[in-house]
Amino acid sequence: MTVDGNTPAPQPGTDGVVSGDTLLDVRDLVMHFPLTKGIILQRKVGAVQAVDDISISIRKGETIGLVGESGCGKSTAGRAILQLYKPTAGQVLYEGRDLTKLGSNEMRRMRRHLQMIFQDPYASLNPRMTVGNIVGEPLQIHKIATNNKERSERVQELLKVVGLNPYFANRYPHEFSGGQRQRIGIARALAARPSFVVADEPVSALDVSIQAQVVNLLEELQDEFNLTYLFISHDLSVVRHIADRVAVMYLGKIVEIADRNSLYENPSHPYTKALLSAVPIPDPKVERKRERIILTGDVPSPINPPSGCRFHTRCPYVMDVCKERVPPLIKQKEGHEVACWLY
Amino acid sequence: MAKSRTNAPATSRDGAVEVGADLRAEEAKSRAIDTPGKIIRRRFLKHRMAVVSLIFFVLLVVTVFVWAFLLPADAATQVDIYNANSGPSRAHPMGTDQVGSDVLKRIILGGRVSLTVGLLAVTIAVTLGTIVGAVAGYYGGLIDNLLMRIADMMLSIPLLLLIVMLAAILGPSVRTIIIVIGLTSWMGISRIVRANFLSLKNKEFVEAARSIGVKDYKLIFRHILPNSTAPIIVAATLGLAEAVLLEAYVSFLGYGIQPPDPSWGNMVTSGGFLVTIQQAPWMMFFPGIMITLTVLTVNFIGDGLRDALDPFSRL
Repeated sequence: MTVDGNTPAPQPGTDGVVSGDTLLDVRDLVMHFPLTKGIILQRKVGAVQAVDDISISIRKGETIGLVGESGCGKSTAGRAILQLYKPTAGQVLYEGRDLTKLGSNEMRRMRRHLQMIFQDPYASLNPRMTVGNIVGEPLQIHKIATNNKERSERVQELLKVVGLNPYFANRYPHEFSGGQRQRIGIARALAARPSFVVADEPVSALDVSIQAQVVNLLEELQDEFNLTYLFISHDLSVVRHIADRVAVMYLGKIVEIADRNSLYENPSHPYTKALLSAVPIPDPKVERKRERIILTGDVPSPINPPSGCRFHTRCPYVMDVCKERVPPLIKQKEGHEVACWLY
Repeated sequence: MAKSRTNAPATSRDGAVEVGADLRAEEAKSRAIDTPGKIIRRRFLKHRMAVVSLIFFVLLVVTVFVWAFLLPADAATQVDIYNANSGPSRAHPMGTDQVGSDVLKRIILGGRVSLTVGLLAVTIAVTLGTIVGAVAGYYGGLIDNLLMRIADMMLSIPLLLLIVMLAAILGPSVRTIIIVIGLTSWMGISRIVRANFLSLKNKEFVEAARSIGVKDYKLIFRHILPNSTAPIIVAATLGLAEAVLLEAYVSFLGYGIQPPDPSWGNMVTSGGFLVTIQQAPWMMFFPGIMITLTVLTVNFIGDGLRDALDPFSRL
């Protein structure tokens, strides 16, 4: 199933059939992590169903926001799309080529087009490498700048682009603040001139004032380098600021996907409503009048997810059908799809 | 696809550069010329004991090898029975042994053997241990199980028995000793390296490196290994001490350097009998001091290196 509202669903299983300006087409992506028992003869006793059958098609130049609470599989989805985890099933078509079928060498060459910005700016930079080496490494690997002089020039240029002093190239990551480190991470991701970038909670480890700077930087870079983002976050206001379309995940499934304004103004899925009602509004009058939907209970375990609709254990509008059958993602209106039996 | 943003981003990038420019430029000026190599050298030089030790160790190695080269081949084995067991004097600064050979000359020639054995054996052990540990820790699973069980097996065999057996098969010589000690002391290092790799391989910076397309061997040697240098250096310096002593044991058992050819190990051994300790203590004292000094200085150098290579140190 495709979520691209403008074009008819391409036939699944045929490479190369993608809608006009689709950059990345994720089809029925499944990522299960096996749970094993035993030391020598390991047998499979179950699986963590981190991502279960998600489809999403991403158009050139847009920003898709992927939101959901902790542990719902949004980071796993991002990593599985980039083949950092080998997906259990499904296809990831990048410009028509199925990434899941590429050999490891082909995939390595492909990585220059698909990059990632990580959540923790303290853990994602190698403490033993200088900033110059960190940012210059993609240039070296993908043979973009092979000699040292050329490479160091490119590195300085990149540092300037992300708003850092080019002289920082000889320093080590621990000499920088969180925001500066995240800029280094962004420079590394951009070094190979990718077209698609997965930003995995790129601002959630930063101070609010720095968050704005980094988000604005990401937006400027998007215009400058014609980037397409998959912006993973649990911060709904940041996503509202940066995303063109937003997908909401719950326990490994996409429950709703819509254009930004449509989603924030008219959320359809009960889970999306609950999520949005949890965002505080900085106006006490509005805040007092507002109806809060408070979900009860915890997120069920992804090892043993609920039958039917995965949200039925916590849904205020639960019906009998929800417990038995998985709701498909259906088009509610132009550019707004929701997986719920209410519609 | 056209972007439809109502809130135009307040251009922060150019602004950010300007705001911090003065401060940063000033900061950069003082450090812009420093390459990582220079920084490491500067940090090492601040570690006083390490610098003293390095100077001493280099002098020791140079003296031993140059002097040994200048001495006649039989200098260490000259018999002078009239001067046997005599204490330090002008003619024999470190005294003489049971057959009247000059202890100083024996220390020089023995030092050449002991240092060669120690350094080369440790090099073999560290290289082997690091590779085994890195591969086991990085790949995990079956490879890890296989390599670590081999290491366990090696550890469960009494070391001296193994050394004696290998020496018997290969025949006693300096080369045999080096290979045997090297091949029997990598297990500890491999376990340390493996443990380090297990904790480091899941770090985000390793994943980041993988996401830009770094190959496995580069991930291992360029991204993960430099982060485990500290324990490796410590293990290597301790290993050098052990190798020098191990050579002494093996020589004592008759499978190592055979007397009358000297090594520090067999000199300590031959001076270590009760009668000799009582009547000619210098026979054991001087080679013993040499072993101690070597081990000590190497340890200090290791300390200094570890601190200098640590990017977090504020030296």
